[in-house]
Amino acid sequence: MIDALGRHVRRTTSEMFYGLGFAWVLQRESFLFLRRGRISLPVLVAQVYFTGVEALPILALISLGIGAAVIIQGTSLLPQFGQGELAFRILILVITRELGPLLTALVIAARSGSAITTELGNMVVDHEIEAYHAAGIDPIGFLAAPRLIGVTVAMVFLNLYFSLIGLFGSCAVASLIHGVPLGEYLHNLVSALNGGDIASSVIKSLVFGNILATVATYYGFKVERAVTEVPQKTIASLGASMTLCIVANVVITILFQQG
Amino acid sequence: MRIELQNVSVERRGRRILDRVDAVFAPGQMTVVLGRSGAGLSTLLKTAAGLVQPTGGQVLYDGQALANLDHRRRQALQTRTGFMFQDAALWANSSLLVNLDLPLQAKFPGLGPAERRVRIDTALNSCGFAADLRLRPAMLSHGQQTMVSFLRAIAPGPEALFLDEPMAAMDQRWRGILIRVLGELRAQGAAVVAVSHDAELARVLADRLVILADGRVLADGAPEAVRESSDPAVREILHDRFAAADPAGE
Repeated sequence: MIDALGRHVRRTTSEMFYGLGFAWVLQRESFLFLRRGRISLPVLVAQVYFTGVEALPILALISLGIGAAVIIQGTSLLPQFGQGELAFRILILVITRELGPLLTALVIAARSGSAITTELGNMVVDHEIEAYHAAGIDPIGFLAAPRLIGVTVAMVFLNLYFSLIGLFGSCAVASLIHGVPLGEYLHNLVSALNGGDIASSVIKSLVFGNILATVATYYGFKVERAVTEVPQKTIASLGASMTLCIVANVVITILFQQG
Repeated sequence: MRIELQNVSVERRGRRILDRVDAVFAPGQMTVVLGRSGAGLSTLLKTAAGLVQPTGGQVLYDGQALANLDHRRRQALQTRTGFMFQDAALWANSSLLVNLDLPLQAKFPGLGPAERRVRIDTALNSCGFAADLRLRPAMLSHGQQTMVSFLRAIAPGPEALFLDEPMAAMDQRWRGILIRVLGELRAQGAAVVAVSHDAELARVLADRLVILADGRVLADGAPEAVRESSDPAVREILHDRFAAADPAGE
């Protein structure tokens, strides 16, 4: 039993260091990609389109739904305690600081993260990754780096989009249901919004995008030879990216609270 | 380019696939590696091509040990070689044109699209291969995909060419073309290495035969010398490979 435990610890530690090494190489290659990315520019464009553009409808729906729910609950509940003006602050905290980045990350993990792991895993099985090596093309620089940049850029814009739809879409809902004048609503909303909210949101989306792409590509490349490994690695990739995003969310929130 | 395997061993999950292999693949020479399935043929080829890391020994490219080279220099060396995979291994999400163009972009970063297209057309014409290059690989037959894999390997003008079962999916016409083009590449000074279960390539083009069994080199030399080997294991493998193609015997 001790032997098995020792083997497990050794394997886990070795995998952790391998993962950290992969993450470091990917960050370096992504930085270098910005200087010499011409060869894999089409991969980047395709990634931004798939992650960014195609996720717009689903995110709009989620964001509008949450924004509307918060404002309906807030404007009906908070005035009972004499805290009606807090509704806007809560809306901003929920949409911009917390749920916006996290839900956007979860949607991207489910759509793009799983797609990246599946695609790269199948490429390993079909020897396509080996073919890149054989041609003198580094698969991390050519395939993973543009995906990391694409997912991170898309994550930042999708997060801003989520916030805009959530904040201003809720405005339309509040006007329709409670008859709140649009101008007054917007004035209160903008007054409640501060630089820290935007900074926190942007930093979270940058970190989450980086985590999602790193984890998805790492698990994709971890497939060794069998097609049956692909769904296993995809599930592992989803679990790991969601866990890491939630942990990172807590850390960034604490840092901003203390800052 | 001269490629040398010195005392190379490869182990996977406790199983020894290559066992202290020594081999030299010289410029202007065609080497055919023969053996039974599971003998370590593909592993030998991939190790020589730098795609598999040996667990023992070393692989030298023009005297430089691959293991001592940094990532970038290793990649630069690999742009000078070509590899044709047994199952084609074309990039499925890219068009045929991209499949042929990427290795050229990697090897000649300064070359413009028009110049690269000239090189692609030259390779296509040399093999008389005609297809709509906007198609994805899945639209082609397996034989055609194998041919594109061959074209992808030769388009950048490799100094060393590795072929994994090149004849397996090809009809007689493609086989003839492949043999002619390989002869031309050899004449231009490329080191050509093929692993094959097919005797035709060995019979027509080989300057050297290497016989592999259970990861070990049983025989290595000129085809005539190897075919006269008294080792029963070598004779058995040669008999299996050549009997059908050459009824006159070994």
